Parts: sequence; structure tokens; C-alpha cells
Amino acid sequence: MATIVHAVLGYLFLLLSVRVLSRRPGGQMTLYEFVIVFLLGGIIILATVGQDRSMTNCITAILAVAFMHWAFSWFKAHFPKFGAIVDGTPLVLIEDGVWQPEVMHGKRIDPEDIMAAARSKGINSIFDVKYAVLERTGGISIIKRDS
Amino acid sequence: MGKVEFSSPVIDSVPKVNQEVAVGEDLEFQRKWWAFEKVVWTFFGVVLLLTMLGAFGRGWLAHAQKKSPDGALTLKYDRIQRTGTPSDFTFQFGPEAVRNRQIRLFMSESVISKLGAQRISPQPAQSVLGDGGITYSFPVQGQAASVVVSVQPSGPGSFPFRVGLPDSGSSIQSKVIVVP
Repeated sequence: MATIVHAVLGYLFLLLSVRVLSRRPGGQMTLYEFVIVFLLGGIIILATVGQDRSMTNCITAILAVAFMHWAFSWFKAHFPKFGAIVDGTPLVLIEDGVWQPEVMHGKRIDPEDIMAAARSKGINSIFDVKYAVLERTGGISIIKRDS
Repeated sequence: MGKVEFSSPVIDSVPKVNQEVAVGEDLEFQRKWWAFEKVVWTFFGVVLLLTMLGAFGRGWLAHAQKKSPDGALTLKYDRIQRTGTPSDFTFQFGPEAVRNRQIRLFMSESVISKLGAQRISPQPAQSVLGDGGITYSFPVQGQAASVVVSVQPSGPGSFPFRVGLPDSGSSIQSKVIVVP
């Protein structure tokens, strides 16, 4: 019982912590963000498993986390507002060639992050970017300006 | 895989930017989320500060010391402890505590079972069950040193306890709060 409670609480707390970290690890992972992801995961395991390192306890913890993940996916699919809370919404970083400073500062995205995404599309100048959208996955989508 | 029939036509439901790009941005929601983030980070900061001060165990706020009315028994302990984390009860004795070259120390059952007493240093010469706890006897030569009882609570809760010297009637009552 304690394992399930710890696993559920750990899942919820990790989700909250990662969600409020502003920069979203996943799509734009730098080495700095890898540290956060692995460290947070490693720490929560200590409380979830505790002193009981049996297969039974580990499998119970895995099942609890898997169930939480499935439940959240179900709620996200059926309640879009829930999805917005858990994943956020896409945000426009460059709109028709104009920086959106409120979003850039709020999400702590640097122009260098946008150019990294642009380069992967074969774009080598910021002036060729018409729209840049920060996706829910953390990736940045680039729409090129028609020449 | 069988042929999938899609009976409903595709509808343009995703909000657009400049009537051009379907993004689904919700800046109003995002602004509320940023305000919520500020609250959360403030809360995290307060929790960290309280943790450093020992409000959740292992710090200044958690340390406590109690003396029996006659001064024969002094107890140093952590009034706030953490589940599964070791902690010590340190007993110090005045000269009044020694009777017949021994000290008898009573600990209520909650110290043993709920708070999970693991080890007593030095080892008592005798343990007697009764009166809702255990009475330990320690032989004494010269001035009495201290006795340390190591505990490791197995679960959260509030655990009142009583310790005392049956021979002199001194006792200390208090409680320990164990956080998850």
C-alpha cells in the first residue's frame, strides 16, 4: 500500500515539478536538462521503493506509475482542458516575422533555441522564419517565409 | 487491417494565428498558468526554507530537550522525525538517578514499537516488561554517562511517549511527530 501511495504521489509531484520548470525537457534537451531529468527520476525512486527491493515491490511501483500514466492519457483525450493543464498549449514565439517577447520571456526561450530548430529545417537566417511555434512536446516548429 | 470508414468530414477546429496557421494557442490560459507557476515556486521556496530550519525533521526546529522536574533525567531528541530515517534519544542522568549502583530507565511502548527503537547504547544489563513499556537497568560505576536509544520510525503520525526513572519517580512526557 505504501509503495502505491509513494508511487502515485511521486508521479504527481514529478509531473508538477517538471511542468513548472518552464523550459520543457524533451524536445529541447540540452545536457543541463538531462541532469534535471535523471536526477529527479533517481530521487523519486528512493522514496517509492524504500527499503523493500523485492520484485513484488518494484513491479507494484511500476504498475502504479503505468496506471497513473494511462489514467492521465485517458483524461487528456476526453477533457481537452485537462490536457492543457498537463501538457500546456502550443505557443507562438515568432508571429509573421515578429518576436513575441511575452512568450519568449515566459518560457525562457532564447533566439538560439529557435535558430537551432531553424537550422534543422535548412534555414540559416532568422529573417527566413515566418512563424516559430513552441509545441507541447517542447520542440519548436518552424514555418519558412515564402521567398 | 480492415478498411477504416471515416464518416464525419474533417472540420477546421484548431484556432489559427493571423487566419493562416492552425496552432491552437491559448495565451489567456498560459498567462493564468504563469501566475500559478509563481505561486508554486513561492510554495517550493517556503518548503525548502522550512526544511532547512528543521520543520520537517533533521534541523534546528526539530531538536528538543526536556528535563524532569527534579533534574535527574534530561532527554535530547528530535520532536519531528522522518519515516524510515534514524534518529537518537539521548538520556543524561543526574546523581539522583543512581540507586544501588544502577540506573533503571523506563520507556513506554510507543518508543519501542511505534518509533521503532533499534539499538540501545550501552546495552542494558536487564530488561523488564510492564507498566505499558520496558524498564532497562544499567549498572553504574562512578559518574553516570549517557544512554543513547536509536530509533527509526516505520510510519508517519503523532506518537506520544513517556520515559522516566521508576526509582526516583522522575518522568518526562512528550510526543514525536513523524512526517512521511
